[in-house]
Amino acid sequence: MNKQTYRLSELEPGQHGIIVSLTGSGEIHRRLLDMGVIKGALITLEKIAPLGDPIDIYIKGFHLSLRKKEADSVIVSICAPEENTCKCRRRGLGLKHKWGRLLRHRPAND
Amino acid sequence: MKKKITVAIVGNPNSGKTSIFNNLVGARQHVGNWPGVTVEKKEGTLIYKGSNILFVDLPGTYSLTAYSQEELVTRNFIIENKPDIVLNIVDGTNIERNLYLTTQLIEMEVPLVIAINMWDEVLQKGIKIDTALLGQLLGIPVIPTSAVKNTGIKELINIINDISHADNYSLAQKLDYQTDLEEELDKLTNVLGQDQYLKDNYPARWLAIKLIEQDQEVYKLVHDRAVWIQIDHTLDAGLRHLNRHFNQSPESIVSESRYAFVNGAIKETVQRPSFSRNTVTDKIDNLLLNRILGLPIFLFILWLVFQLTFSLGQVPMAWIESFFAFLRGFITNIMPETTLTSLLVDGVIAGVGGVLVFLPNIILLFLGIGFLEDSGYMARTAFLVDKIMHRFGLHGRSFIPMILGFGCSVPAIMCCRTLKNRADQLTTMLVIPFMSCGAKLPVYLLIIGAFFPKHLHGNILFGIYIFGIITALLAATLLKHSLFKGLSEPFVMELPPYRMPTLKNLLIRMWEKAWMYLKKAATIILVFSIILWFFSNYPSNPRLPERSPSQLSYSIAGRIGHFIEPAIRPLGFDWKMGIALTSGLAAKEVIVSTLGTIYSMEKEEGSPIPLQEALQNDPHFSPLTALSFLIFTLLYVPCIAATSVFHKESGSWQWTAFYIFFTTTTAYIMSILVYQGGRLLGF
Repeated sequence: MNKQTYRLSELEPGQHGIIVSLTGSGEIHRRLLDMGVIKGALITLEKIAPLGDPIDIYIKGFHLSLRKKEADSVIVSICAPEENTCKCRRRGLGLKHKWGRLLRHRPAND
Repeated sequence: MKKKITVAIVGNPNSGKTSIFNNLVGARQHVGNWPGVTVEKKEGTLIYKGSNILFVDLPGTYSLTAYSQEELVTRNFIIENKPDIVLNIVDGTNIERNLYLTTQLIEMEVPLVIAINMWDEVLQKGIKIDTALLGQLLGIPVIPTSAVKNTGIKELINIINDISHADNYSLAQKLDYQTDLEEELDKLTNVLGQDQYLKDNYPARWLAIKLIEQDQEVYKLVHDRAVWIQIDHTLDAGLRHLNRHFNQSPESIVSESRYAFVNGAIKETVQRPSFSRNTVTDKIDNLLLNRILGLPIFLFILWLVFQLTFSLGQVPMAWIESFFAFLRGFITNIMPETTLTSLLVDGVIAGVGGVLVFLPNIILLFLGIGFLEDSGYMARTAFLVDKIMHRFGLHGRSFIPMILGFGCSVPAIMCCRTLKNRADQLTTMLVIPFMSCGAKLPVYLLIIGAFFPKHLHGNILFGIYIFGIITALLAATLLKHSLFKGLSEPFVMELPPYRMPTLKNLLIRMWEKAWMYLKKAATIILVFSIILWFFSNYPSNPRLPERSPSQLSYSIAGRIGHFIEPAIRPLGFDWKMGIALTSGLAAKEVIVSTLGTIYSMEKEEGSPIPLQEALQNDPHFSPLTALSFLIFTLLYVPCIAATSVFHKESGSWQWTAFYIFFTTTTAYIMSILVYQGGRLLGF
């Protein structure tokens, strides 16, 4: 299983993953939690702003933008396309993967 | 006798909360301020059957922490003012995150009613929400509504009315969180129950949850109680236990528990179609947030808004101008040439009329900005430019207010309300004056025209604007590193789906702003116009020839000019310029007319010389002086209208005093540097 962890700020547009941990504290930490950036949440990096910062992520059904500095404190495990056990595919979310293939819902034991 | 009940409206930003509020109370609303904070308070009433319902529209929030004034105002209103009912507006197309706030409201143990808003979009997207089942699970009424289509509102009012007349209304189900967390919450609740005051005034479980979340305000509240020693002991042990078990921060444990509950509820009651991720919003954003096209399109849209504002505004502006001209003529004809006439014509009409003439522009500008805000595009603009803004200690949302400053500081400062963080808001408001406002343009044109060769005119004008921008950015950086060190807000911002703004909401919002502008003109500006007129004309010495420079020197304005002359001589100015700049406190264009008066008074006989020539003939006024004068005009304290709006938006005399000090000092320093530096270089 390809379970490398990355900081959210290191992701590229189109990559999706699951939040593994949060390393922040104080107000930023709390704001992220309130917006649904919690352990176990699915996120997709949608876009990066033209000037390189902030980033736009898709989480819990909406778009959230944050600066890379804030995104540094979010640790994510990226889903690779070959993984049959990838939760995103099991949930049948039909996410467009960065290699361009549309992931369709398949039963886990396929 | 109608029963009076209070209903607090709480919900996420972009949930359509304000639309629902507008639908419930229409124009019967009143906007004020929460005491002691700069948070807007909106109230409105509805009389229905046996009830007189007061709706309080609380600020849109995602959560109820102690980190922002808006959250504190909201939760304090609920906990302390104890409204009869809390109406929670939930965006049905974004239900997961919206219900997070709902769980916090349930924790507060208040009578709750939920409105699943944007029901029309929910149906259109094919989302199925079983509102009855959801209501059962939570133990509270859940009503589908659509503010846009005006559905569900009647049912909402009926439920509110019924509940208010019911004798015993059961509160929502208690939400069960993770086992270990529940254990610690129980222990804390028991200890808290020992304090009678706390028990009577606050829900114990809510206090316990807040303590685990290390909420500063609740800490302060509980810290002074005798029972604190026990609480501290239990809390300390509890936090260590939780940390060992979960190995993450206590706030994240609580947040996860809330979301776990929300997830469970949604699993049973909400069915989403396999998400088509390429929604209309996504398609539009592919263009508007495009890496290459995004910024140019943004600049184009800004330009478009300004163009529309000024071209559409021309027509009503001309009407208002001619109205005041007519009024002026009428009064001069009807009334004998007395002091009162002069007061009315030169004082009141000149002052107030000068400001009112901009009302159409201001209204159109607010309509345009309101449209951008309600449609969802405003958030995108902050997203696009945040990197640059942040580099200079500002926020992505500071960009639009600063651009507005090129037109007029008044709407620009009012627009700073979108900056939720106080430090960001104050920083932006403080540097807006450096963005050269439209009223200063006549001054530049006059002075540049008089003292510089034709081929340099465009460049110098452009240079002044750029100088202003640079000063603004540097000043913001300075402020961020000194006064506001470390106080800026993290940039965590939702990009809401694009929605078509409703005319009703736009007009209501625009009316609020226009009314405020009118009130300002009618009061403060009127008073100041009269004062300034008085200063320029009194005292008058009947032995001196009328309208002469010696007469001017005799008046209060003249004396002020002479008095400050020593202070402004290092800048290259004399008493005449001193008077002109002082008159600029009323409005910047007045500088031109004051200079006109001063120099026309100079020529006692013969035909009047054009002002530019008169300036050139003044031995004291050199191109270097002119440059220094331009810079001072650019930077020093803005007109009384802008200052009073600053005071209203900042809510503080100290900050207003600082505003005046900061701008004037910057102007003074810059002018000295330019003038003395120029002298040293031999100009």
